[in-house]
Amino acid sequence: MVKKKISMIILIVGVALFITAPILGYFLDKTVLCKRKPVVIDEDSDDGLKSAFAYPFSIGKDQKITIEFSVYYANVTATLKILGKGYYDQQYALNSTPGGLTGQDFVYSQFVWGQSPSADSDDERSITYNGYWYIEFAGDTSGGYLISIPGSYVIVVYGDNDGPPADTDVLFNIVIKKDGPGDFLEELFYYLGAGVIAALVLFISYSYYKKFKGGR
Amino acid sequence: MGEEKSFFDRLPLLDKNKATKFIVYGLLVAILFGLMMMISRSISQNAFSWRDLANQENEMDYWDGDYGYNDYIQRREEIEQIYYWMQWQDVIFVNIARVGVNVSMFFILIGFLSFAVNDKIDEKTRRIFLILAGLILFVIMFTTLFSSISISVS
Repeated sequence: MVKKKISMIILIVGVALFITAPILGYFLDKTVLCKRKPVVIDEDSDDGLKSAFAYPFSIGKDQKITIEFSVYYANVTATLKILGKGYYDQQYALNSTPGGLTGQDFVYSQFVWGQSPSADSDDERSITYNGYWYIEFAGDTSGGYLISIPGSYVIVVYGDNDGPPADTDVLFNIVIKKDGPGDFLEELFYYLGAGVIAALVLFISYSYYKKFKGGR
Repeated sequence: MGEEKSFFDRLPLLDKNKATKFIVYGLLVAILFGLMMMISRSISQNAFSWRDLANQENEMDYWDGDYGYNDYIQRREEIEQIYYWMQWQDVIFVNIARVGVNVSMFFILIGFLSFAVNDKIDEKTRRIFLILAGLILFVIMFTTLFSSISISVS
């Protein structure tokens, strides 16, 4: 009776691990670092790095960030670059013009229904008036593919407002996500679930073997 | 306290009840392992259909904007990996099932053999049991020792 209870508990634990694995994988796949709609900066950012939007982040090996960058406001041109932290700090001290800085390469894409998925890479993306880019970054690129270079970086956005002289606001939307522990946890829970169920099978087999031997 | 006999010493002298149990349990285990073999084969044979479906879902999730190009590529590679596993698991589980079926057939053989040597059963029936035991032994020997001879159910 006790053995049956133990077996049932082990089975429930094994099944629970199997069920939890994909749920964890789905919900912890990406961690939202920043979600701001809209961000307001001044058009002075076009002339000096100190007025630009900056978001520092770090990535590890085989880790990437995704950026959803969009502008839906009249007369606004916004440009996104990703700079190495050291390079950014140096240029920030000089209040350099962001347009003249060389950024790190990232992969950008737009989702076109019915077309084979594809992507290109560049070191900056600009949106004028209206637009959306899905950006992936891991340090560097090779064509449409990412190269993992762990380190600290800064996302920089600067822009211009072409409207009346009184309108100096540059508005844009940005969502920054980082790879979470979802993949690792999903795999771990699958292995744990499989291990628990394998242990249960061995336990039951051993119990039957003992029963069989004892009965003879 | 009499001298304890080993498992093998007792085998040919099973009484009717135990011999029946051997046959029933042997059949049950053989059916379970056979079922495992069939499920494993089915998963392996239909792996490509699953891969087509998963790739289509991956593409549609990309178009929906759920993830970007590099996540799409990563998912595509994961689908390939699972596809290969779905095919490879057949080799693992079929071999486990082969061992299981042979062991269970051995139990059935012992059951029939016990009936065949039981002098409380009439001569003709015992002869039938002996033929059945011989037949099972024949199957065990050939499926175990010759890889080119196998029994398959499809």
